[in-house]
Amino acid sequence: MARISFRQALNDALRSEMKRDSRVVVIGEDVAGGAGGSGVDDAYGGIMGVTRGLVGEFGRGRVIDTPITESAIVGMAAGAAMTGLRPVAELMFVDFVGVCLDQILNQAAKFRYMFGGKARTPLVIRTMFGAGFNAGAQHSQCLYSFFTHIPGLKVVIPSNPYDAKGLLIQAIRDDDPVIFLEHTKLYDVEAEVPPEAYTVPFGEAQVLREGGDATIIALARMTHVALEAAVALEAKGIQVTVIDPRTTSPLDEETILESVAATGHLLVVDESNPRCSVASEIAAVVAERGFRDLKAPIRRITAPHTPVPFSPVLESAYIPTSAAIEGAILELVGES
Amino acid sequence: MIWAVTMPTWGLSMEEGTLVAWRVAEGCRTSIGDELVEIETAKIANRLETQHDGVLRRQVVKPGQTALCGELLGVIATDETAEAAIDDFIARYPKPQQATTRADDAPSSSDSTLVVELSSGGWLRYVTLGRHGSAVVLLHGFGGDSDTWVFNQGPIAEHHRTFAFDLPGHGGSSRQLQDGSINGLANSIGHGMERLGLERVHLVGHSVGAAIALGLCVQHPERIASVSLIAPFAFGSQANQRYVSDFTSAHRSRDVQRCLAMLFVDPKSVRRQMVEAVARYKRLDGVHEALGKIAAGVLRERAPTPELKTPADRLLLIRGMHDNIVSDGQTPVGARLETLLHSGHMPQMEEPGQVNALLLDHFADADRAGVRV
Repeated sequence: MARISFRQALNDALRSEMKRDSRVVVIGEDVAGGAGGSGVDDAYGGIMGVTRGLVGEFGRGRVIDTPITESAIVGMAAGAAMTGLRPVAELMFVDFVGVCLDQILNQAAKFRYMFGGKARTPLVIRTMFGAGFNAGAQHSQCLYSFFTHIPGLKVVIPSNPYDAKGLLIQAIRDDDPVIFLEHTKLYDVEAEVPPEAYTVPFGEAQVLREGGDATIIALARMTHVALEAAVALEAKGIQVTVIDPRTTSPLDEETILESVAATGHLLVVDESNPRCSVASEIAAVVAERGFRDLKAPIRRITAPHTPVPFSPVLESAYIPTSAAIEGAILELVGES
Repeated sequence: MIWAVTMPTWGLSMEEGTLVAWRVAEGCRTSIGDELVEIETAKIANRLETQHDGVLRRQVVKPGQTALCGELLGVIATDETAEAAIDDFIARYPKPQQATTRADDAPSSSDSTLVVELSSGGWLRYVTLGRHGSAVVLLHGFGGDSDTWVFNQGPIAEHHRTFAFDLPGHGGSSRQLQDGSINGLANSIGHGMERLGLERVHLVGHSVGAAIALGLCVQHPERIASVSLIAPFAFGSQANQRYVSDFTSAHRSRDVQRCLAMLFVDPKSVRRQMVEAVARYKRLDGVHEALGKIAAGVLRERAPTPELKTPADRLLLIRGMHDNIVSDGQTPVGARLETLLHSGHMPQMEEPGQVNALLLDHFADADRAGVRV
């Protein structure tokens, strides 16, 4: 089994599904790179290089470069999905969802419901999110709680290359609209990934590490930060469980509740802003269904309720750190 | 005499283990086969048995501590050994190197994991250990892979050349099955053995692997030195249909965990990474179809009772007393039957010390008999 990057794992997933099913098409800005210009064809494969090589293999009819207009990308993809294709649309940054939110919120997410279950919308919207690149307030947000809030959407947030490939293949084979969020800082993370196609089911959290003293829930890049904290805590004799929900809609409540029942302590780590966030939702689920198992109040570590700062110094202060996680766990465990 | 108790290496991917508890107190006498220490890895929990009669003079690693494979856990010595000699032994005992290169750069397949191509276009992956002695071929069961033998292949390889195949449709072998019948599977393994130049082998089969081993005995009686069948699906036994269908359809880790727990007397033997490894296999395209074919082709009916040319005294059957997966079949007249009291469907993992000793004895008997002939 080869070690490949998160970026390559996504590329493998797209290639494998495009080979398997001629209805799968890719739509987005620069997905074929240099289209219509005098430069090298397929120079980019999207700004992160995820779709590189696909236009050469599958042609311009299936790898569709678009103008800079998110409303057209998502509108076209939603319509194509309803009429029989299985499009994978790319929004360069999740921050740009504002200009195509109606296509997602009022159209794609509602088709199946509005047409009495007779319409299917096998649409995937891939998009990049997250801070850490000094890319400023309009290119660094998380926003996954937006999508998680909307019934009719499935929301997928992979944290590693194995999951990225299996979850993207699952997303493409799914008959409902799926928002697939890729953290900017994860594209170069490498891991062993099977060369053949496989699926990772939605709504199944992964236990990344087991320990009896406390439970940490974290998504995407924050799983790596939480694991770093877990190693530091182990040196102090504290064993923590780290759980990656992998999808926030559906959310695997059982795995979270079972772990809290075993540890009695819950810390939710979330890179997004705190109000009405995924962290709030997980805290609410545990407060409602697992309250009797808790030995101390639930803790959250999130970004502050501010835009993502452009200044590198402030941006680092904005993103949750492993030191903060470590401190919170020490307090939590000390409190009981 | 002084003997080291070290962290075992259970399978190719194990790098370290956690010592859960000592089962023998410091200063107490212990004999070969006693449960000495409980060890847990991310993949499996198990007990290490005493290898030498003596007194456990030191517990070097304490419960809760983690040690690298090969690291000194404790010291067994005879009564007359001086304290100073034991301290000196501990001080001089070499510390294993952390396998950092493997964790960071190298793929998981090590030099001992190889692939043999079949003329059908498919391939079989196998793990080989041991350079000397007569050849031993290990065949796992339905839905398993060569990891079935993590507690066995190393100890057997001290005396034999060992080859643990992944069955067609399983592990790292190709997914396509020509058909899911015992004969079809045995054909592929027989072909693989031929390709590897294995002219005479001791066959060990677990569960469905036992039926395949018997299939090979019928196809190539001249190549079989001895046969050992563990928790065998053979001689009229029946497979637990609920297990077969639940395992075949399991896609979520939770369902995989529930299935795997049925295999063991102590469901806590199944650790997170074992579940994860099986779940990852189960999610691959083509696996569901391959397992479905075998389930439909083999496991619905009672296990076959083939006409064997292999003498019955070359046949060893090892059963777990609490096997929930296959019912007891008949025991051919003249065959040796051993029932292990603390095992379910996985005696080779649940009581590896006993199973290894039984297998090595059986191979040695057959090798001696072979020489006489």
